[in-house]
Amino acid sequence: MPFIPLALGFLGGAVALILGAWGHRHCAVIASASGLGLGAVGGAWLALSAHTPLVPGAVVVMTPAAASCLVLGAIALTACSATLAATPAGPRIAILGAFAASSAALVAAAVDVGVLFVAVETLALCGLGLVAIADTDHAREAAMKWFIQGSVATVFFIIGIGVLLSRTDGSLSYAAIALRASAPSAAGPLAVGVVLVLVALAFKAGAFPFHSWMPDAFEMAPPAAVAVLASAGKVAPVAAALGLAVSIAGTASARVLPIVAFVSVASIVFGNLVALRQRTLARMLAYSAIAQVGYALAAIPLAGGSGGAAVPIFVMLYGVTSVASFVFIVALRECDDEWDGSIAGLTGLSRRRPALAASLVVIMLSLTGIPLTAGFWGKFLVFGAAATGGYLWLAIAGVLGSVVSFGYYGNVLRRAYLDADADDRSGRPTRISDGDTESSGGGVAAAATVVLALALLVAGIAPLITGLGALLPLR
Amino acid sequence: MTLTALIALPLMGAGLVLIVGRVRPSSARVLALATASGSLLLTVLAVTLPAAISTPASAAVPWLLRADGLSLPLIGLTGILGVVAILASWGETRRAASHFALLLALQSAVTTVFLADDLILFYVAWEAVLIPMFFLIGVWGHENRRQAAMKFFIYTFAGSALMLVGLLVVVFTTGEVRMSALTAASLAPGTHDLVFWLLVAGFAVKVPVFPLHTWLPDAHVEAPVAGSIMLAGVLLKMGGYGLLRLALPLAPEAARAAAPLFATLGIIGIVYGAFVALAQTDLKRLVAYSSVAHMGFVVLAIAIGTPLALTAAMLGMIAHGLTAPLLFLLVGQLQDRTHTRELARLGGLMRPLPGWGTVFVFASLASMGLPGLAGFPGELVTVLEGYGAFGWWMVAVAGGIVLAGAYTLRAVRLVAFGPLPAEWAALPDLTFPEALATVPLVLGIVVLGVWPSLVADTVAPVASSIAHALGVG
Repeated sequence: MPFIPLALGFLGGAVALILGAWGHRHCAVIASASGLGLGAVGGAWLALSAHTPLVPGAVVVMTPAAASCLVLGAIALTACSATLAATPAGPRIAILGAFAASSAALVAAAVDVGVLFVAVETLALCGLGLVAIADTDHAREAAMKWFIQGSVATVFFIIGIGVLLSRTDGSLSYAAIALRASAPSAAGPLAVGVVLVLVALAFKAGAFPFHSWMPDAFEMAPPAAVAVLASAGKVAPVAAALGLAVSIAGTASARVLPIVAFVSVASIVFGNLVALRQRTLARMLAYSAIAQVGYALAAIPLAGGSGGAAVPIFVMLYGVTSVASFVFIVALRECDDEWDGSIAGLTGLSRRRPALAASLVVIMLSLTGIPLTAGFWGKFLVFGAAATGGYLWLAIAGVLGSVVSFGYYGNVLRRAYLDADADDRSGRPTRISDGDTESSGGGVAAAATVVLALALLVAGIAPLITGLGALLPLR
Repeated sequence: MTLTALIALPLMGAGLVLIVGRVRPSSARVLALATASGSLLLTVLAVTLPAAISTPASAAVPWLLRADGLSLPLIGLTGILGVVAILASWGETRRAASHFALLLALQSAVTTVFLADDLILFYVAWEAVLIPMFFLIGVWGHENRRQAAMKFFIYTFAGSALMLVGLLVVVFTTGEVRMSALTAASLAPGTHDLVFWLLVAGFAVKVPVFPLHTWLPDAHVEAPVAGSIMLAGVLLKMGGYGLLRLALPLAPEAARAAAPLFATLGIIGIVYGAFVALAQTDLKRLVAYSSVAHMGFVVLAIAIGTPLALTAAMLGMIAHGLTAPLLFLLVGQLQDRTHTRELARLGGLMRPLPGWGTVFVFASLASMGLPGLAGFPGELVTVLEGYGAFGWWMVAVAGGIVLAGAYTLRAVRLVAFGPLPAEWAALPDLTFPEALATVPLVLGIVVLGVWPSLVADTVAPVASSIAHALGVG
């Protein structure tokens, strides 16, 4: 059962591949988006229905995180469909995007290290194609970085699998690892194997010392592709890391999990400080994503307890915010050819595109983790788990990181709103005439940005009224 | 239900103002004023009729609100200042609808802070206050508004983020979010100090306690008039409210241990604020630093911790919440006419602006703590109670009071009296809406001055229960 939604996602991409080969650009984009969409609906239904039968020996389990990868991919492709259908490379982006989102879902759904390996490598290959698709020198360089660093991660992964295999009599399922890890004699070597796999996943998630492929990739890949990679591509490795951490939690090998805490705090510090210096929106979001992964990892050492619920909720809410931020970039590119992708180029956005600018406020506040937006609840749970689980220093580092993050997230708002008057006086032409046409129309991406921002607001306010229980089905 | 309405009415008003402002920008302010007045009426109802605010035990309302002696004076103040802030920006023309909508949203958020009985709702509202204030300062402020807005947000967010960790520790270890159900005993024994200092990080920045005050002058000076009114009037009070509501009752032992430190910082705030105010050349900055001094009294009173002193802390907060906004309002009205706040360029304004000048002198006297006006009872009781707790240190406080007289009278002399520069000879006096904006504040200052028990009697029961928890009652 759980593989049907995943298959639907891949199938959408495959159909799109055929349609694209016949030159039906629109149809190809629609096929990949709708394949993912169908998979997303099925996955969400499976993940949220209380009585999912747990088949013994299953290698995939449709978790909310896995379903959310399909949902995020579907959102990204649907929101960017107009742009994708209009560009020659569009169908290829859509196809690779559908494959990437589906394999991300597989990464999150896997409960077997072997399946996890195949899924991670598929995701990496799709990502490689997406980064290289622009076919400029910079894009090739970014793809090269992606490939080489991905190879290093693969090596870690393979050694990890070797270590695990040597101790589990051939079974690589999380359950087998958990069973073996409870025996003190095997706990140490198994923990080493798990840590090696976690390192590989940290590469894919872009946590601190393993992050350097990310900024180039985020800047060079088409924003529509990054919308998939920066959402589903982040949710999946974090969810997988959590699953692995759960498998060795509560045993003697849980002692190695504090390593994750150091990766977390390093990512928070590094990502936030470097993001402050970025000039382009995509690069800033890439560095801030390092910090966001750091927040997510903060509760992984507590995977056996409160962290088990907090991490998936945090990373899914971040995924939605992240997809919204890149859909915003697509939307802005659709309506403003002159925008060079820089943060300074957002000056006066509140006058030119009030609806997009207002959505940007919600997105940036949600990324910062300010209440009334979805992002707050993720941080609330993650830092709450860390603060009360013996990692108070990590929670404090996390909230202080969030404070620093307003330096760059807030800077975007400052450009869009506070510098609006400066725009009128400066040399940049104010295009009042555009305002009328734009406010009436606006592309699919613009509409999607507004809808996503509204969703972030609703998700931010609803738990206040319904109680925190509203978030708990997402575990 | 009245309590929910107190929050919902300004919020719905904000939405309505935004929508109406798109169609008819001119009617946005009328609608905003109507909403704020409606909220004020509702607040008066809530304060005078305790039956209207008693929540049924079954808690039909989805979230937990309560109004007791700590909340009622402050929501009353918020209601008054909501109306004043809208009247103060009556002439706003730049994106007027957004301006009024943000003011109403701010009022709603602040009211939620004072009414929340749910720790999560409390924190959400606490941070929600930042968002409208950020845009009010950043879009409608003066010359350095962008830096001031960022500094305000990041500085106060840094404090409240640490406060969040403290609240998380409380919520996750006790599993209880209702403030009224939490006592010192519900916290795990080892966590009192930790929770206290994390919470204080948020509250002390907001008050602001002396070394953490550096965001205040920039934010107050760069904010538009309505923004300064809300900042000085109610946002600072959130800090004092938080100390009284959460920090002291949850961790009384830690609070008692920290009392000498707080008293010292409070006294430094009083003297330092007064000295710096004395040296200012900018009238608005002078008023901003006087806020540091006045809030120093509140910090000192909280540090003393006796029932009378805690009552005096609330009296001081309400008094400052009436006088500082009045002064900021007057400075704003002056700046609209002269386009300068430089003390050196002003003078003799009593002659062209008799109405404005009279209110300015009145507000300055109130700020000095003249007997019969709002500032007096709180500061007097603080000094008297402080003598019992900290002895001769109160001499330094008395010095601060003298300095307050000095900087206030200096401002009055430089602005209202003396030779009148020729360029200001033909300034028009207060218009009707401008004069109207001052009325509630002037009335409030007089009423609180002659009848302090109006607030004191409401606060006293809560104050004595806090003092009891502290072990000094």
